[in-house]
Amino acid sequence: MLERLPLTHDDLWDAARDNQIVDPDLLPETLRTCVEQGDEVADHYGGRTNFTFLNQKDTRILTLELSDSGVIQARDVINMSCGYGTGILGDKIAEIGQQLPNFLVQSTTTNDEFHSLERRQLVRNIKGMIGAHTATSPDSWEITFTSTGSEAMDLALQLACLDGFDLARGIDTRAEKDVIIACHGAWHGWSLGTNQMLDRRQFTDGLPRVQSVETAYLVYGDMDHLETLFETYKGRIRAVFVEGILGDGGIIPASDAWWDSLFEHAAAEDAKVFDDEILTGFRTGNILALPKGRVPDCISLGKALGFGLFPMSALAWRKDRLRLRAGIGVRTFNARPFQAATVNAGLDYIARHELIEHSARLGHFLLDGLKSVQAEHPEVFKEARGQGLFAGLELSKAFARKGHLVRNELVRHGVLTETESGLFNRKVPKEARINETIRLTPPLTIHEDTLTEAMSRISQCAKTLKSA
Amino acid sequence: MDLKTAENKLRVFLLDDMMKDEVEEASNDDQLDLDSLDQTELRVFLEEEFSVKGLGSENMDKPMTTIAEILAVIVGATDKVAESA
Repeated sequence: MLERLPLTHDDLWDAARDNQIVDPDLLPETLRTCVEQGDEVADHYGGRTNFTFLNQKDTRILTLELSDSGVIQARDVINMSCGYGTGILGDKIAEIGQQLPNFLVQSTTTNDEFHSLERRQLVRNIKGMIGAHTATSPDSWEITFTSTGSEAMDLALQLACLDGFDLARGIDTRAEKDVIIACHGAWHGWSLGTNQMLDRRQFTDGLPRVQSVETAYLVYGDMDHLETLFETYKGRIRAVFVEGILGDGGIIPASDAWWDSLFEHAAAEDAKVFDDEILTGFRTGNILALPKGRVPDCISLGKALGFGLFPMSALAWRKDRLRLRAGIGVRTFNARPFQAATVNAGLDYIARHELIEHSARLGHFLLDGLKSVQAEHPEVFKEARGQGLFAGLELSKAFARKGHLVRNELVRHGVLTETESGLFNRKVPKEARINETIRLTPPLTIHEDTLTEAMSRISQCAKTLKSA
Repeated sequence: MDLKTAENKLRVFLLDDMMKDEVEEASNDDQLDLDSLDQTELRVFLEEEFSVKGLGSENMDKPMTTIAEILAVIVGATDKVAESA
């Protein structure tokens, strides 16, 4: 009797094209176990999805879904997520992969106290980009590297808290500046430090607070609220932490006028502005989502900086405005030569293929398409927003808090997206609140026809949701 | 605060802040769909609006699923405040 061979990836790709049901007995044993029981990592989401991702080709992901009844179905899903937006090169990362063996052989394994040519190049690359975007000299910036976005923002908060602190005398010369402004709905990371800047008690209750500073919350993009808050805390504001586009609050860009007002108020108050571009960096048709020509005191980059391969983040600050205390910036991984060489190669790929310009062009196409989808299905989607290849579809009232249900249905219709929490805080005026929002962050390498197909699938999904 | 005012306040919260449309038609004894995140937000609301402290200790040992159950927690907390005054 002939033994039936386990299905290969190629077999499963064939099955995925027609959303075929897969016989579990034909899956390799470890794969079957993974699909049926999960990958055994702790359930840090409070409920896991039933999807297992196997393979990526172009912008497609081979996916197996385990239904509640135990049926396994293969799906071909367009990657409009890139894993929290990190994998900006999509499968073109393989082109960098060809260089990795050389990087491995050439890169030393030393600590961050010692210099390397690779990191020198990376520093120059990023300072150059920041200088060009902010219309400042690259040499006016200092930069250091961290691993995760949380780590970069934690360091940023330390810079803010230590601004004016005289270590030799043990005196805070800016002690009267005891307020930090953050934004309602903002997300700056999961560390104890960045937790101080979250306005949602489901994330903060039970964790200690920094006693020397109070956090006040700003309604992102709201000019009147900006003025009121600066007036309320006049003389006390030490720093403002603000995202280039409000991310978890629902993909909300702010107007240039709001940014200008923010910088004017901060300058008058002598408050430092920290621009968090961890999520938005490289994604919005520019290096930063912050409008060009504006100069914050500190900028963070992350997520896409590691191209989805490893955690890599960076913190840049103006030399004349902030100072790093010796020892505080030390990190085990501060752009090791291997990491720096890989990121340099990725940045070089972006430049050679003009992906920033490409994403700016495609961003208009994507947003126009999403607005059409929204107009066609107002029962499901309330509004489409975004900039470049960083876009959001806010859910309608009927689906306001059903983001994960919608996200899962979108996967079943062949589009991988992520869910933003929106803005439900009772302290935010009702007219400023935002429903859960579907986030779309495709790779910068995506083609127009793939975006068209993705939007068609989203539209089809909306029909299914309406009829359910 | 009387029970009717508390109920109105609670219903507005469930409808407007938690987007629970089913509350519009729900009686006080109808089961509501409140997941763990909803329970957390409800706990914060009760604490901020009704000074309810320490949910999960003596007030309740299981998630609240009806308006009547939530009101009972509010009444219990209000009584305590009155007794200690």
